[in-house]
Amino acid sequence: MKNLILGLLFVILLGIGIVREPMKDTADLITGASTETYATKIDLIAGVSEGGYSNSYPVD
Amino acid sequence: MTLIMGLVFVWFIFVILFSKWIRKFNLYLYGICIVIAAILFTQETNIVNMGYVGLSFFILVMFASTLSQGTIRKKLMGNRAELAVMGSIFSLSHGLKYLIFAFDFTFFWRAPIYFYIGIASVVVMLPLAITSIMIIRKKMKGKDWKKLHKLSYLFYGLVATHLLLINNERFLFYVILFGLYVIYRVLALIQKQPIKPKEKIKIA
Repeated sequence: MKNLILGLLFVILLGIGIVREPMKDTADLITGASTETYATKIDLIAGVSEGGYSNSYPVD
Repeated sequence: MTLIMGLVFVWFIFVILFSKWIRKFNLYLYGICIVIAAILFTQETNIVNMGYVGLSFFILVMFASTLSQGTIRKKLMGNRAELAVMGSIFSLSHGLKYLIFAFDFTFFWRAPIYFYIGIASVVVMLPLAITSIMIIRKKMKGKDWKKLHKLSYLFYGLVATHLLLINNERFLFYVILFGLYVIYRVLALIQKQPIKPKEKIKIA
């Protein structure tokens, strides 16, 4: 019973995950692309430009 | 969240289907994981360097011992060491990548606190991972091994703190995940309590 509940909760977490973080973005991430869903600070550290359209990482 | 939970299910199915095979060829699997981690280490952003793969392994490792007796628990517990070592290989890659970034971009001394907690968790993880390899485990005394592996709770705590302090969109997911672990751990401890023999009823 305990195992079943945990399994169910994990499935629910996966379901919520798919709603919040679409499969397309997840697949993009696996292939190495950075998306808005998986916007990562490592991009900034690595010096990736946001094209001047985003205020995510304002430059002083 | 999708990726982490998706990977958890993939590893789970992998263990259920190939548990004996994983045990038998564990050294080959470690080798494959090292090669994959090393190749991906050379890239900037990917699922290994961001720590998702390592975490997905550790979620299974964490929850395995909290499950009720049965085939699933038996299979997961049987491959727990292998899952932990594979998770450690990918987590080490994640830790090293960020450490190198910290030195490359000179922010090591002014990094956010979760960065240092992440480094601390990798430091705690290393002896646990090394002693999880069967060849090394066999050279240790059972009591010493058990004592050392109590550190895994410290490791889980550090990982949870690291993830929660990042405070990203997945904050609530991590709260639920580690909250669930605490509940299941406590339940497992309660169920493990030895049942006291009934006191003999004194007949007057």
